[in-house]
Formats: sequence, C-alpha cells, structure tokens
Amino acid sequence: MKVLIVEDNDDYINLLNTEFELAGFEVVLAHDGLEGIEQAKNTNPDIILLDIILSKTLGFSLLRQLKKDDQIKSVPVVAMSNYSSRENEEKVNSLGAVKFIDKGSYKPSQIVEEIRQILERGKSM
Amino acid sequence: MTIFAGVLLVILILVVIAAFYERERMHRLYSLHEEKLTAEVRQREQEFNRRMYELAILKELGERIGYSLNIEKIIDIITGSLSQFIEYCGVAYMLIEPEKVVYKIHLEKSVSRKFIDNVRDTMLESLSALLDKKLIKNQVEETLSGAILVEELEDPARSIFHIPLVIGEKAVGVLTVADTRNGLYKEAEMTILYKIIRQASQAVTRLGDVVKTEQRKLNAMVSSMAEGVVMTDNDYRIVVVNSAARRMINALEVGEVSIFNFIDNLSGRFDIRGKLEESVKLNKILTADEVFIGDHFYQIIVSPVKTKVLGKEEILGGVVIFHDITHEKELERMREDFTSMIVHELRTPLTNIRGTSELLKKRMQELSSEKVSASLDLLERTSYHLLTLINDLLDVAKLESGKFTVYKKMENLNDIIKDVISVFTNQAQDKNLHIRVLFDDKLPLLEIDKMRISQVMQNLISNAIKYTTQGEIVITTKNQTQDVLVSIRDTGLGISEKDIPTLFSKFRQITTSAHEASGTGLGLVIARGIVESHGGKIWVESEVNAGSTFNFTLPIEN
Repeated sequence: MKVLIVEDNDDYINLLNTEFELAGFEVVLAHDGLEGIEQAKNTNPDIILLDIILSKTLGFSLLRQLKKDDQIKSVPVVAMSNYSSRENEEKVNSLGAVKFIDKGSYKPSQIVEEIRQILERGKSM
Repeated sequence: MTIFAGVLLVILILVVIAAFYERERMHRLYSLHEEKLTAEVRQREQEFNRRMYELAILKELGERIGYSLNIEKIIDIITGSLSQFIEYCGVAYMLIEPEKVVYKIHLEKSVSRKFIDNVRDTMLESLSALLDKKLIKNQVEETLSGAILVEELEDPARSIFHIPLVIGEKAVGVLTVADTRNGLYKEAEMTILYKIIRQASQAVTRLGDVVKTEQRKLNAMVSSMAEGVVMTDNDYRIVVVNSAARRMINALEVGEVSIFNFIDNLSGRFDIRGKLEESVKLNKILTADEVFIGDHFYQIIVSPVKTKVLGKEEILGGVVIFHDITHEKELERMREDFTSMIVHELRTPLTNIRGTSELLKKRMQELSSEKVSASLDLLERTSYHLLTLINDLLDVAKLESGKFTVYKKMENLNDIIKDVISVFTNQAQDKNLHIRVLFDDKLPLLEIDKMRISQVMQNLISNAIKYTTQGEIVITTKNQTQDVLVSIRDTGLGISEKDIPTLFSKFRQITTSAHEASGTGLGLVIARGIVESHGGKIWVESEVNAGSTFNFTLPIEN
C-alpha cells in the first residue's frame, strides 16, 4: 500500500511518515502543492492524504487539479486540516475528497487506521 | 270774545294740522332714511358675509396650503365651498400636466353631457390661448362629481366664466363656473372669485419660494451625506436621490434617475420596491444587513415618510438609506482572520506534541534511537515555540488594555545589542549572511528596559535573517542629540508598499509571502508597543527585492 502525504509542516509530516511506516505502508512525502502533483503523477500512490492549508498552493486548488487529471483522478483523496469547519468539510467533499479529517481530533495512529479502512473498502468493492 | 275765541280755535287747529303734517313729513323722512339705512345695513351685512366667507376660505387655504403644494388639492378646497356664494350649475378646473390635461367638473345641478362638453371645449380653448399652445381633446382626463347627468336636460352652457390659475407668474390652468341660464356672470360680481384665486396663488407662490429655499438646504444636507439616500412618493417616483446613492448604482452622470435604475441595479440582492411597499403598508422601519452592491457592503434601512396635516398622519412615501459598512466588514474579517491564524498557530504545534508523545509512548521499542532523539527534540522545541507564542499573545493583550509596563534603568544600548547579536551569529552563518555593526561610540547611557529592548532587537534581527537569502544585515546606532536612532538594514525580500501601513498592527493583511515564512506577525506589534512605551518611534523603509530598513528611536533623558 502506497500513501502520498502532502503536508507543509515538517514536524507533522515526519510524524505521519513514522506512523505510516510503522504500520507497514510505503510512504511518499510532498512538502508543497507542486511537489504533491508531481509525486502523484510519478509514484502512482493508492491513496493521497492532503493538507488543505498549504502555503504555496491552497489545498483546495490542488485537490481540484488532482481530480481533473485523468491519470490521478481515480486515486482516493483524504483531506485534512487544522481548521475544522462544516464549510471546509462540505467544500472538500464537493471537490471529490472521500473524507475530511480534523487534525485536532484525530491522532496520527487514528489517521493511519482511517486510511487503511478506506483502502480495504475500496478493494472489496 | 267769541271772535277771539274763534281765531284762537282756528290758530289752534292750524297748529295742530301743521304739527300733524310736520309729523307726517318727519315720519316720511325718517322712514325714507330708515329704508336707506336698512339697505345699507343689508349691503354691509352681505359684504360682511362675503368677507367672512373670504376670510374663512383664505384661512382654510392657508392651513391646508401650509402642508400642501398640490394645486389640485387647493383648487378642490376653493371649489368645494364656492356654491354658497356664486350660483352655477357646475364649477370646473383644468390643469396642465406633463403628459395630460386634468379636467375636473363638480355639478351642483343636473345637466346633460352636452353641457359638460361645452364647458370642456371652451376651457380647452381659453387654456390654449393662455398658454399659446395647441391642446387637444385626447389629452384630457375627465373627472365628474356632484349631481348626476340627465340627458333630457338639453340646455347648453349659456353663461361661462373663466379665471386663469397663475402660480409664480406661470399660468398652470383655468378655473371655470358655468350655468345654463343666460347672462349670469358680470365681471363686477366675480371680483371676490378673482380675489380668492389671486390670494391662493400668491400663497402658493410664496410657499413655493419658502419650500424651494428649505429644499435647497435639505438637498445640500442630503447630498453631502455619506449615506446613500433615496426618497420616493407613494407611486415610487423618486423625489430625492443624493450623489452617494447615484454613485452606488453608477448613475452619477445619469440625468434623471428613476426607481427602475435602482430595481435593475439591485436585482437579486435587494427588492427596493417591495421593501418600500412593505414598509409603507406596515408603517414600519425595515432593515437589511450586509447587502453587497458594487464592491461595497451596505446596511439598508427602509422607512415610511410621514407628515402630520391638521393633526392627521399622512404617508408621503418612503425613504431608503444605504449605509456603507464595508470598512466595518473589513475589520470584522481581519479580526476573524486573526483569530483563525492564532488558532492555527496554536493547534499546529499542539497537534505535533500530542502525536509525538503518543508515538513515543506506544512505539518506543520499534523506533530507532535517532528517531527517539528527534522526537524528544521536537517536543522541546515545539513547547518552547508555544510558550513564546503565548507570551506574545499576553504582551499584545497587555498592550491593548494599557497594562503594559516597562522597568527602566540606566543602560548601555550598544552592549545590549551586542549581546542579542551573539545569539544569532550561528543562525546567520548557517544562511551565509554577514552581520555588520556600525555603532556610534558616543552614545550616552539610556534609561531603558533592558529585557524589553533586547526583545525588540531579537525580533528585528530574526526577521532580517528570516527574510534574507543573501547579502548582509547592518545594524547601526546613532546619537541624534534628542534621541538615539537604531537601524537594522537587510538585503532581503523587502515589503511591498501596500503592506507597510498595517505592518505594525495586529490585524495586518496576511499576504502569501508573509504566510510562506509563517509566523503570527505579533513580534512587530509588540516591538512597536515596547518602543512607544519608551517614548520612541518605530518605522520601516523598504523596497521589494532590495531589502528593508527597520528604524526606531529611544529618547535621551536630560
């Protein structure tokens, strides 16, 4: 299982990296939106974990770009943010994300668990 | 004796006869006088009555005109009580309006259609002559009142008398009395009618002048208002519109603005006509918050316009006031931005601390020793960062509530700055930046708070390092007699002109470039607070891609 994590906070991305690796995932990291698009195209991830508040490209527009690209659009995207709001949640859902995760209420280990479940549901379908 | 007695008797008889005649004569004379007197009294009485009527009608006119400039209404008042005084089958008036000719006739006695048309045609003729303008029947809008039409009565109007209606030296219409009988109206008898009409039109003219002056004052006030103001009458015709309202709908250059200009421009956002109708109908003030028009936000207030006529309330129309709240909205947005920025800045490190401690607790055995050490590093660094952030927030809160205090002692400023620089030497070297110092060695001791001034220097130097990728940072001190000037010049990114005004304020616009390097921007707010608490000033000079120079002064105590 390959997960692409797009996140601009170094500490947090390292933390997620460790958790996913310990859970047996293959992890690809991208520290900004541009790198995110590139890695999505080059590494064929099974799922993308995307922070929607990125400094260079806003996560929303990145999500839109990912869903427009024929090569990537079938890859499920889980959006996450420190700004949890119904507005953000509805927005990412309407843009095609499979789930919205509030970083404040999910521990990294719980995020790993969520991702695993989403991938298993996808496989059984 | 008998003769004497006879003569005496004759004389007596003569005297009696004479007295009788004299009495008769006197009586006749008296009764003649009395007749004349009675006639005079009667005439006076009549004149008095006329005068009273005149006064009554003029008084009533005065009162009503006091509140109305509507000529039609005034003429209605005159014609309403004219029958007490002049005989006629019908009294009529004809007024010129932009698109039509108003013809109103009130019948005291029944007449035929022919009579009505007779009167109309002669009025139209005399009005055409008066205005020197061809008027046609099609333009006439007729209103009939009073006695009913009886077609069997075939008498035409044989007596017709016209009086022109002149307001402010301008003929506006004709007032006419008409009867089926012949030769009824003599010029002399009509003087009172002339008088009434003249007084009424004088009153209207005078009032018109007063109203015009008042209106000019009112217009001047309304047009200089920052709020957009639109007032309409009960038929939604615009009576007042000021330039703020015109500007709002881009109609500054439009000659005559109608309600449709507003309806079209506000469509989908504000139903101006519906709201006016509702407000007038319910006799209630209505408000709409945050309506976005053009590129501004407005709070809109709709109110009926009322006046009291003879103690009775009358609705003249409605008024719409557009209050521009863009600035308030902007401030509100900035406050919200600030709050969510702070929330983000607090939650991010806390999320990291929690995630890392969870990882250490559960997976300690599976982690390499480097990972463990890096995690502990993160915990220490992030807690320190959070503490600094919370201290910053506390400082800002103190500054805002006026509870920020500085503890001043006599200090050597150059030494304080040197100490701060030493902390940053490694960081600067890592980025290949050179820190150069140009100290004025003739600085007197300054009465300052060492810890706080160090804090200002730390903030300014760390910013300079953060936003500079190559070149140098030059720190200068200079004795300017009244005060000491400290400058921190870098060769970094620079600050765009539009960001400078809000740079030292809490609610600064967070542009992408500032966000990129992240941070709360509170450091500069606190730096300003500290410098100002010392009686100094802080400012920045900057050029994008060339660098910035932050300057502040500290006063020299005498």
